[in-house]
Amino acid sequence: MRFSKDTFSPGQLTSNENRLTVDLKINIEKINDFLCNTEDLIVTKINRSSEKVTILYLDTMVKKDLLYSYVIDPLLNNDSTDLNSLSKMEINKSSRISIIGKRLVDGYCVILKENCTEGFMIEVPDSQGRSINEPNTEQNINGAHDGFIESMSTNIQLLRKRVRNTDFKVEYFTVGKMTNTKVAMVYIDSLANRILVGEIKKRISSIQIDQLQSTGNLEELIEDNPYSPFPQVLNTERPDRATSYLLDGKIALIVDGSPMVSIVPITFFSFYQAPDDYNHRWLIGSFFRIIRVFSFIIAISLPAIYIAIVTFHSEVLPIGILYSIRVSLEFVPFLPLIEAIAMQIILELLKEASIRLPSPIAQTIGIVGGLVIGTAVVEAHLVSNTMIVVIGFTAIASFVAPINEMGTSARLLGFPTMIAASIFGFFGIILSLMLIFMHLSKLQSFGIPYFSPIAPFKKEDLKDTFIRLPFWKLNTRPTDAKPKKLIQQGMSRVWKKNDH
Amino acid sequence: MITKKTSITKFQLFFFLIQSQVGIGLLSLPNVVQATAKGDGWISTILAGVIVQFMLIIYWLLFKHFPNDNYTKITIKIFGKYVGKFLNFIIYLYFILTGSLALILYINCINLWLLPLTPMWVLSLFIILSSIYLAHSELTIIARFFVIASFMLVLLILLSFLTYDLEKEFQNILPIGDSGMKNILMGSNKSIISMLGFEGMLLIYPFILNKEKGVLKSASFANLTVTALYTYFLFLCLISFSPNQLKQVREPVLYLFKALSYEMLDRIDLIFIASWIVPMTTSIIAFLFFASKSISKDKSYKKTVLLNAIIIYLISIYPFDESMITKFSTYVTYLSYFVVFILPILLLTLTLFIKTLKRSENA
Repeated sequence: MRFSKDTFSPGQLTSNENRLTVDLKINIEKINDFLCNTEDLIVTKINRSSEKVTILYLDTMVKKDLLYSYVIDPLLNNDSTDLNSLSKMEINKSSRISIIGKRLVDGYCVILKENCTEGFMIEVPDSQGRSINEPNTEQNINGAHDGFIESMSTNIQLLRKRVRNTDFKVEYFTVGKMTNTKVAMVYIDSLANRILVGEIKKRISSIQIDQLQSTGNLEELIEDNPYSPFPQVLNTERPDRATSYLLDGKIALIVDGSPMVSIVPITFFSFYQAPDDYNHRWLIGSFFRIIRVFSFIIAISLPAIYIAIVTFHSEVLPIGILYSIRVSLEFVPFLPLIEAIAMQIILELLKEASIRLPSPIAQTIGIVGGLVIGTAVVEAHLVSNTMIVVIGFTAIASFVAPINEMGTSARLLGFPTMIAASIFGFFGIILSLMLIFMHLSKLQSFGIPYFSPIAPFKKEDLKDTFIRLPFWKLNTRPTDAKPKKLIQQGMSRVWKKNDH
Repeated sequence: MITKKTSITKFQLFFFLIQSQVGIGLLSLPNVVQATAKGDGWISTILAGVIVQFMLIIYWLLFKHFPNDNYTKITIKIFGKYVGKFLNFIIYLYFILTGSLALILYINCINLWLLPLTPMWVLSLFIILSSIYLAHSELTIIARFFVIASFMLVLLILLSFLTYDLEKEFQNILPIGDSGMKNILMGSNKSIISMLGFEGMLLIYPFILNKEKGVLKSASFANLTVTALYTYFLFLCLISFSPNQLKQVREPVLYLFKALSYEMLDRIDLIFIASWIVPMTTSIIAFLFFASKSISKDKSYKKTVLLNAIIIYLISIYPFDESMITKFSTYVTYLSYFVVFILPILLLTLTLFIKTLKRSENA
C-alpha cells in the first residue's frame, strides 16, 4: 500500500531522525516539530479497552463527520488490536515523519500506538469547493452547461463521464516544492502519440519551482516559445471542449486548484472553434467559423487600414467617402495614430475596469465609458467619428474569438500594425501581416506545427478549420497531434444507402 | 543524413519554385517584352516556359546521377577542389547579385508607387529584416510560409478578373507572328530573366522527400503555372493597352488596375502593389536562402544568412540611377546564362562523359 508518487530527497529518508520511534510521546513531538508546532494540529488520546492510541489530524483539513464515523467510532467499538482491519477506509502505513507530515497536510488523520514504529493513516479530507456551474468565460447556447471547478478529482470525473473508456489514462505529478500542487495529465492511451506524451512528461517533471498556482503558471513553464504573442496552450473551462480534444489524441493538463484545463499541443485554428459549431447545423457552424477567422484579420488590421488610408493613401477612397471622412477629421488636432492608440487604450481601460468590478458598477462603467466618453470625445473634436466606428468594430471583432486569450493577442498585435501603417501605409500593414504569418508558420506547440493545417498545408484537415463539414464527413481525426489511430468513424450514414 | 526537419515535400517544392520565380519581374514584363516582340509577346513567354522546362529536365537528369548532392557539391565532384570552388563562388555571386537586383527593383517600385518620400534604405532595411527572420529558419518552415504566401497570389489573380470590364482590343495581337522569330526570341530572353528562380531546384533537390519519382512532375507543374501566369498577365496587358501605351508605361500590370474604380474603392493598383510585396519578399528570401546554402555548411548556415543579408542590404542601398540599374541587370543576365544554363549543361555532359569513360575502362 505504498504510495509511489512520494518525491522526497533521499537524504531525508535515510536519516534516522525522521523515523518514528517506539516512544509515543517523542513521536508526537517529532510530528509536531515537523509541522512547525502549528496550532491546528489536534492530538487526541483515545483509551480503548485494549490499549491507548493517539489520533493526530489537522483540524482545518479533515471532515469531522468522516473522522468520527470511520475512525474514532470503530476504534472505540472494536477491540481488535490489529488496526489494519479497523476501518472500511483504505489505511496507509508509514514510519517516516516526512510522509506522515505530508499526509496530514493532505487531509489524513494519523493513528499512533505505544510501542509501534508505524503510523496508520486514513484519508478523511474535507473537500470544500464550489458546485459545478456554467463557465462564465466560455458560455454557449446549445451545448452542455457544466464547467470545470477548482477540484482536480471532480474535473477528472467530468472528463471520465464523457469518455467511458478503459483507455482513458491519468498520470499524476507533484509540482512546486512549497505548494506540492498536484498536476494530472489526462489522455487517451490508444490515441495520444507516445513521443508527445513522453515530451510533456519530461517537461513537467523537469519543473523546479516553489509554487505552482494555476494552469497559467504551468503553461509558461512548458510552452515552446515564451516570447510569442500567441498562446500555445489552450486553456478551457469546458469539459465538452476538453473531451473533444482528448479524442483528437491531444493531452489535457489539470492543475489542482485551477478551473482551467490546459490542452496541448494546440493549433491556431483550435482557438476559433467553439462547441456550438457542432451543435448547430453544419452550414451555420461553418458560417460562424469563417466570421471568426475573418475577425482575427480585422482585429489586427482594421485600425491600421484606417490610419494608412487617412495618412497615406486617401486616393484609395472615392471622393464621396473621402469627403465625409475628411469632414469628421477637420477639427481633430491629433495624428490618426495618436487618435487610434488613445482610443484603443481607453477601450482596454474600460475593459479592465469592468472586469473586476461587481456587475452593477460594471454597467455604470459601460454607460459612462461607452456612451458618455464616446459621444463627448467626438463632440469635443478630440477624436473623429470614423475612428470611433473603426475602434468599436475592432474591439467587437477581437471579442469574437471563443477563447479570450487569442482575441487579446490579436488586439495587442494591432498596435505594432498601427505603428507600421502610420510609417509605411499599406506597405507597413502587409509587411506586419506577413511577419505575423511568418511567425505563425515558424511557431511550434510541443513540436507540432502551430499553424497546421495551413502551414504545413494538409488538405484533409481543412474539413474542420475554416468551415465545419457535416459530422458524418469527419471520418479522420485531425493529424496535427499525430494520433495513433486516424480513422474516427466509418460510414455513419449507411442507412441512407440501404433505403433505396 | 538529412533529418526530416529540413526536408520538403513535392507539394511544397511546387510552391517553393513558384514563389521564388514570381516577383517584381512580372509587373514590368509586358513593357519589357513590348520593346522587341510587340504583339507576339505572349508567344515569347510561352517559348521562355519551354526553355525553362528544357533546363528543368537537364537539372533532373543531372540529379539522377547525384541524388544527395546540391549544385555546389556537384561542381566540386566534377571539377575538383580548386576549379569547383571558383565556380561555386560564381554561383554564390550570382545568387547574391540576383537577390540584390530584385531588392533594388522592388524598393524602386515601392518608392515610385506607394511611398515616394520614404528613404530607400529604410524600406530596404525592413524588407531585409523580415527576410532574415524567415530565411534563417529551416527549409521546411520557409516552404510552409511559401505555401501560405501562394494564397495571396491566388487572390491577386482573382483581382485581375475585375479588369475584364475594361475595354479590350484583340486586334493588338494580330497578326500572330508578325514580329518575326528573332524578335520573339529576344522577348523570350527578357521573359526568362523575370522567370529566374527555378534554378533554386539545383540547391533544394537533396532536401526533397521521396524524390525517386514525381520531382520532375512537380517542377514542371510549377513551371507551367508560372508560364501560364506570365502569359496571362502579358496577354491581358496586350489586349488592354495600345502598343504605344505599352511602350510608355513602366509597370503595365499596375496600370491595368489603376483604371478600375468602384463606389467604395478606388485605385486598386495601390492595394495590388502593396499585396505584391509578399511574392516579392518571398523571391528575396529564396535568393537569400540559395546564396547561403551555396556556400555554407549545415552548421554555419544561420551566420551565413546574416552575412549575406548584410551584403544584399549594402548593395541595395547604394544610390543606383536608372542607367546603372539597367547595366546591373545586364550583368546579372550574363551571369545567369552561365550559372543557370551553361554550367548545368556542362556538368551533365561531363558526368555522362566520365560515366562512359569509366564503363569503357571497366570493360
